[in-house]
Amino acid sequence: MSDVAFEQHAPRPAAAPPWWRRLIGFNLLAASALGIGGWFLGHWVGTRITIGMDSQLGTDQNDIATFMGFLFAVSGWLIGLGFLNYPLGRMLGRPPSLREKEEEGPGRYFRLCTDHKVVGMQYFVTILLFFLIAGLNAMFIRAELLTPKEKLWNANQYLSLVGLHGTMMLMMMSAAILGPFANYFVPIMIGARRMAFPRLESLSFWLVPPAGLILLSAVALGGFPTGWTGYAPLANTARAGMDAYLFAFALIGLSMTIVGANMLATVLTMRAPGMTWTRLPIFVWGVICTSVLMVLAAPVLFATLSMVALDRTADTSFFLASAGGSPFLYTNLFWFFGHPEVYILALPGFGVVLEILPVFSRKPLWGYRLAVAGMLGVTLLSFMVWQHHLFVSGMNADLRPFYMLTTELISVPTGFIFLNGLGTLWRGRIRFTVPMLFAMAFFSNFLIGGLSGVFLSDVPSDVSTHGSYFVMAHFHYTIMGGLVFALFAATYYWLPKMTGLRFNETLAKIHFWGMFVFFNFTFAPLFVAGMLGMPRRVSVYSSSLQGINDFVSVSAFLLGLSMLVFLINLVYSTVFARVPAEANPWHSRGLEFQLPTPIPVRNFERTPVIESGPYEYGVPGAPPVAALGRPAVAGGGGSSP
Amino acid sequence: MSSADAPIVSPYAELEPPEILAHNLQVGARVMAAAQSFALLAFVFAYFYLRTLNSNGAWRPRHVNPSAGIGVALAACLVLCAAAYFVGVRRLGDGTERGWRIAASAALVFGLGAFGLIVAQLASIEFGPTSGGYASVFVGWHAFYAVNLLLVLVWLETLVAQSLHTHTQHLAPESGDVSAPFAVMRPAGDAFAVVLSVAIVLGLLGYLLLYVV
Ligand code: HEM
Ligand SMILES: [Cu+2]
Repeated sequence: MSDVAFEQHAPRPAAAPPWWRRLIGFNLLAASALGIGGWFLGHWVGTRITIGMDSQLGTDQNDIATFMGFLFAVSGWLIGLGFLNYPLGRMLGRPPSLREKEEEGPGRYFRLCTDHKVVGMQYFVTILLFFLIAGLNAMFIRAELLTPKEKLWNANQYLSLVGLHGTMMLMMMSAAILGPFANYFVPIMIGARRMAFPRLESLSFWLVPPAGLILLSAVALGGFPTGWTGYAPLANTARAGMDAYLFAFALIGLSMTIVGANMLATVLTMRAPGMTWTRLPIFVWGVICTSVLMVLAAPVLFATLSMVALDRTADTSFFLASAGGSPFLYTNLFWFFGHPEVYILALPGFGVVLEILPVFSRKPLWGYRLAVAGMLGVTLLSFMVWQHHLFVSGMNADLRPFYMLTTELISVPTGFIFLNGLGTLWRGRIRFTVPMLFAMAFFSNFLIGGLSGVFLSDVPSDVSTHGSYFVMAHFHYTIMGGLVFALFAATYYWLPKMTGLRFNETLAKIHFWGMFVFFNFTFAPLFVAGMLGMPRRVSVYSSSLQGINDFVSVSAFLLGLSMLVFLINLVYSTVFARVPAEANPWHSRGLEFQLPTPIPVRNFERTPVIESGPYEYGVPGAPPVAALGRPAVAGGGGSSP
Repeated sequence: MSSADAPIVSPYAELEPPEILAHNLQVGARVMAAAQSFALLAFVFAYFYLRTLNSNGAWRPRHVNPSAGIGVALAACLVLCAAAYFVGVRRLGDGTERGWRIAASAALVFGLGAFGLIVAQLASIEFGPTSGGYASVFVGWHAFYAVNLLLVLVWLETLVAQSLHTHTQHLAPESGDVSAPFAVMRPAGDAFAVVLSVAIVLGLLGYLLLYVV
């Protein structure tokens, strides 16, 4: 046992384990087997313990068994992956060890791996997969909306489809940039070799696939009628698909909390010498702000969903007004999470575009401090606006002006980001590369999304637009037009560094223009449809709106097609063409681009010493961000400032 | 168990300097404490919200009276757990290994006692969760807090287990291994103090709201 301590010093080729060990050692297989087995075992146990309970009389649905099934399934999954080994060892008194499962070879992508670069790639592929599934749902929704009458699906199925699309999107997009790109690049950008808590980092990822699959299982369990917001008391009475929503979203809440905590600890403690707060890449600032929101908001989501779960299983009455509860309790708690959540989606996007603009304008980022102040301002204010979602709920009318004001106030720090963007572009030597195109499209889309948001924060105009397609167009402009465009900017900017392979430029440009044009064709008309009174979440609408809707649906299909172009490009570039990318294809000053491709497992040979800021493009005499490749400090110590 | 299943690629494994590890733990513990309190404060919010609203007059019907005795015992266990742990941390600071081990183990016992009392309380209440807003918050809080407490205690248990282990098995300090005896436990012990104290303060807040006022 004591040799645990020495393994990290003495290289020891692992002896071939017996065959059964190797079988279990194939983590993903064991995890899947234990996960599926866990579902049946848990369901069985849940059924047994509820026999004879009053609450089970006269129902054909056993929520306790469903939850037990999910719980056992996820536990089995994590055990199979090996997440329990280390904590159990610790509970038995093994000393802490940092020995990491960092390895080479493709196998590492399929198991618990603590290399932050592997986790980044795992996230990228997984998120992309679920994004495509959710996007496919959107296509189904738009197909139904081709006609004003119920056609392909009945009202309940349609509602489930909308909920599935929305929930899947929000669950996956919450970590769409932090998962792949922050995990991969934040340690490198701050000059570290790893994240503060590599095992937790891996855990945060491995919670995502079960969450996505469990959410999908809602289809088999009768769907859920609440949309992504899960409003009680509808959620109290819904079919078992609701349990899937609750459990999956709670898992994501857990994962988000872990991601946030890990990012914060990493940036606060692992910065290389010389990486002062004002030299921190702006992307990292975006990640910090997002992490603060995640750590404080996601636990509230977790608690809130637990209350719904208790209402459904233990017969509590948190949200049943007839029994001393209140549905408004749900809306308040949910939006206390929900509004920060929208900035969890937006802030990483701000970070990405501000990171990219200077590179392709060949100018320093304009107003670095202003940008940081803007992000911090958004972070702070986003906890004080949540009741703008409840303006028409019958809330105390005297509270409305306050929330209207805070909401309108939040557009000020958001405006800072636009100033930064414009100031950077101003008189720059702009190169219209694909990442740059996406970054610039971010601004025009987010502007429309943001401005329409001001109308929604305004009580009188919200009264007439609430619950309509106006809202729906608004948030797609911010999330899809903002976050997803930033996500693709990041993908085209960083993926060549991650894979070492170049994207096909022509296909990438087709992707961009298709996406930009058809995104706007899809969502701009929906503002009008909303103003004309088309409500969310129902598939029947006034036949006078069919023209608009058909136009929108066709655009949406073409938008979907542009995603296909991306997918084809991804597969073509990484599997078939395999044109190697240069180490620094964009001539970026970013520390991550100074490293060779592929980035070595340890990132840096020696701890780098940061000597200059990341955006000093065209500044005469600016030294490189860090001198790599020569001894950094005497002894190469790794202490951080 | 922890070591057997992973291919060991030692050349890549390395240790961070201990002060960074300590700093990591410090920050991580504070962040986790914040997350923990926001989750539990959601229940506190529910308490005040439902109490003020008193919908249908069903906040707290007359028959809803949990055992005050168990409540007092629970609060006492929490206080004792915290007190014992802080004595332990003191010992950890001045390097009294034995004192730390005894105090930390005592804290663990009191913590488990508190957990047991919650289970006992939930098993013995005479009202159901259906009996109104207060009953819902009561059941919800206890269940959620119990799980949270258990997770906190798992961390405490690893500290206790580790100190017993380093006691019996002497690792070579010159190996630079982070597990090299006693002194290296200090950062973890300090970091845990943050998480524990937040958990206990929240537990006492719950006691105050659900049993006293
Ligand atoms: C291909 C692009 C997309 C199309 C065509 C599309 C279309 C739609 C449609 C038609 C609805 C249903 C509106 C209703 O009947 O209430 C909807 C809802 C929604 N979408 Fe999308 N969407 C797309 C992308 C996205 C993305 C990228 C996100 C977020 C990252 C997203 C998030 C949502 C959310 C949160 C809802 C609300 C669901 C609810 O009401 O609970 N969508 N979308
Ligand atoms: Cu909001």
